[in-house]
Amino acid sequence: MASRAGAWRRAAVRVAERETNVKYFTKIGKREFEVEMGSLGNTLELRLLGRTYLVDCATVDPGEKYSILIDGRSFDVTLDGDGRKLALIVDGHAYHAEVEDERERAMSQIAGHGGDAGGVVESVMPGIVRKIFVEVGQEVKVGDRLLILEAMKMENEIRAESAGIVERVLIAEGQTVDGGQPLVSLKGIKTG
Amino acid sequence: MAGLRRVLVANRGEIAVRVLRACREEGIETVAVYSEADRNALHVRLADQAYSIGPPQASESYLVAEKILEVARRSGADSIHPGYGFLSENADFSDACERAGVIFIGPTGSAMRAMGDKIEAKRRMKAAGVPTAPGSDGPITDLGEARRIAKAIGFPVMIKAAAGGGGKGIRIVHDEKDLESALERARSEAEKSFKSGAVYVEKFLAGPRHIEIQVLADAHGNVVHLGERECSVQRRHQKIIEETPSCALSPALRARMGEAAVAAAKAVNYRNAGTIEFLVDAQRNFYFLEMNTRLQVEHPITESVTGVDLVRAQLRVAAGEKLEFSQSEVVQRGHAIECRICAEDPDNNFLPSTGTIKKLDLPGGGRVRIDAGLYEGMKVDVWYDSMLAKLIVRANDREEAIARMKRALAEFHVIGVKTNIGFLLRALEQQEFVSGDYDTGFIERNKERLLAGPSEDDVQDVALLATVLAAQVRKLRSAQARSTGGTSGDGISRWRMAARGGSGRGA
Repeated sequence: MASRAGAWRRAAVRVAERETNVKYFTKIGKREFEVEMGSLGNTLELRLLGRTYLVDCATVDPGEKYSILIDGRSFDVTLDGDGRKLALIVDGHAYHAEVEDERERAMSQIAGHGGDAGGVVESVMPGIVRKIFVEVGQEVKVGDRLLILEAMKMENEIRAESAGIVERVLIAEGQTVDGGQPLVSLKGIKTG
Repeated sequence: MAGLRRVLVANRGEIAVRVLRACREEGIETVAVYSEADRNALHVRLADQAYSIGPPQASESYLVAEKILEVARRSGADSIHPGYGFLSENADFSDACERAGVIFIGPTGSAMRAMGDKIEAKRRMKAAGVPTAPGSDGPITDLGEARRIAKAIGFPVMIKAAAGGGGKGIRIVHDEKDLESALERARSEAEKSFKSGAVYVEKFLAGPRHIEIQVLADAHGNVVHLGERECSVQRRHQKIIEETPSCALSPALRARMGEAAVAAAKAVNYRNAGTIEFLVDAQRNFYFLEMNTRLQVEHPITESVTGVDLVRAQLRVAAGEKLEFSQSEVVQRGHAIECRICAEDPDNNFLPSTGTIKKLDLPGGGRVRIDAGLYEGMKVDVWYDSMLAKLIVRANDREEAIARMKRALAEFHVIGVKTNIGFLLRALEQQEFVSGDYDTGFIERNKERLLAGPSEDDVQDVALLATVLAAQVRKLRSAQARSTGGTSGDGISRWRMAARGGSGRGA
């Protein structure tokens, strides 16, 4: 038993060693960077665009607040996210990052991209549906008013971004909707 | 004269907190009202008493005069402070308070009616010799009439709510074909926000400055002005950055606008705090825009440079006291800037952002003031205005004030909803703003730069930070998963979980 535990431990150490030099694909907005990360004792060593950076990361509030020194330059970072998608605030500016390691990158490439929303008009924000201008079977042109969504006392007209025939109206007047919720589905008009 | 004893604050959010604080400092008891959405709100917690007034919709809670008056009766309040928005410019409410024997901390119903109806106000100002912008002489009742007037004064025109304020119920129309839809929306928005769908048409002046004068009047006929506020940094007619003094005013112009503001207030027998808004064109002509017969959102910058606590003054004037100072004693010292921090997404057409404030770090340091009802755990939802906080700084001069505001904004971290803080920071960096030579077209003209992404250096730094933090959060999540029995956390690959699980068993 002792020798099996020892083997496990050795395997775990090898995994840990391998993990000390991990390549990440880090997307900030539309830009993507390859960042290699290893460690030298308590200091992290990062490589980005041919340059090496020594980084010290201290946890102020786990998962929410970190103090990070990049070659001595100090950053106070507030954070939200699950490790793959992150929202960061640095010097008052908010950034969104998507971070994948090599394995996750390979997996997501196999999985491919999610299905296209197609002809479904989604709510761009949470709000209350004040008025619906269209009904099932109605033909709409680009720019036609579909409905009015009220949020924080402002009324916002939601217009058709593509022409089509209203297939389904998925909400009712007076209904509260979330951001991203499907509102109206449009069927494209076949030509010829 | 005995002062006020117990004030009911008929509002919510930062302004309710602002008024409650002033009352406490004055030794006055406070009564809060709250909708079901606001049970946990700061204004409820800071008040001596608090009463529920119904569902989240303002139209069924904060806007219902009868409910507010009922709470006043029940709580024994001798006065009501309306804040801004909601019932603050409702003349009937002011009258109803008087009938109920409760002091309304603001102007009389008749002064409000004269100024609150923008059409009537324009007529009065014309008569008092204050310059006004061309437009309809009365409310617009149908599309045909709107069309006739718009053509007569020339597009672009503005459709504005007669009972309006705060940017609600306003539409700019550049082309006749958009008139109908704009009229409909402005009317509907006005109906909802002010319970009156009356709208009027006015010439839209391209690129004016929006400069306003603060006035204070007591019940003994004394009226003083406290200088100007430059409010030209606006988006969709909502002010986002205000400063005082304005770079556009010479001492002589300031004096003339101040005199006009005092004359305007006197013309309607105004009492309490109020603001005369002017449009100032490139030739430095000024036109009366409207009077806000209430405390303004941006009042703190005036307080910062004059040393006058406007809410305290409101409370004292409402109690019948005389103003404590004369015009010659009002001195503007130094410079002050306010930024409105809103829950909105600048990268997504400024749509309101909702959610729960998960993490909040507020700036500190000297000469920095934060007026907010904000706290960690607060839910930001669709029912009310998107303004989260006001950040106010003061300094010896404008350059120092801008630097201080940038420093304070950089320290202001909010997690849980998207905010316009980055946008405000970029606005303060624009050459046009720094020069002081800007007008209401500032945001539109600089839109691209204001919405531009980070610089190459910054984005590389952020990439490094994000990578380090992603690794930290992954470690944290897997440690949490291990300690809670090992089910896979979000975003952590199974392979790594398996590897960690193995090493855990082996150790």
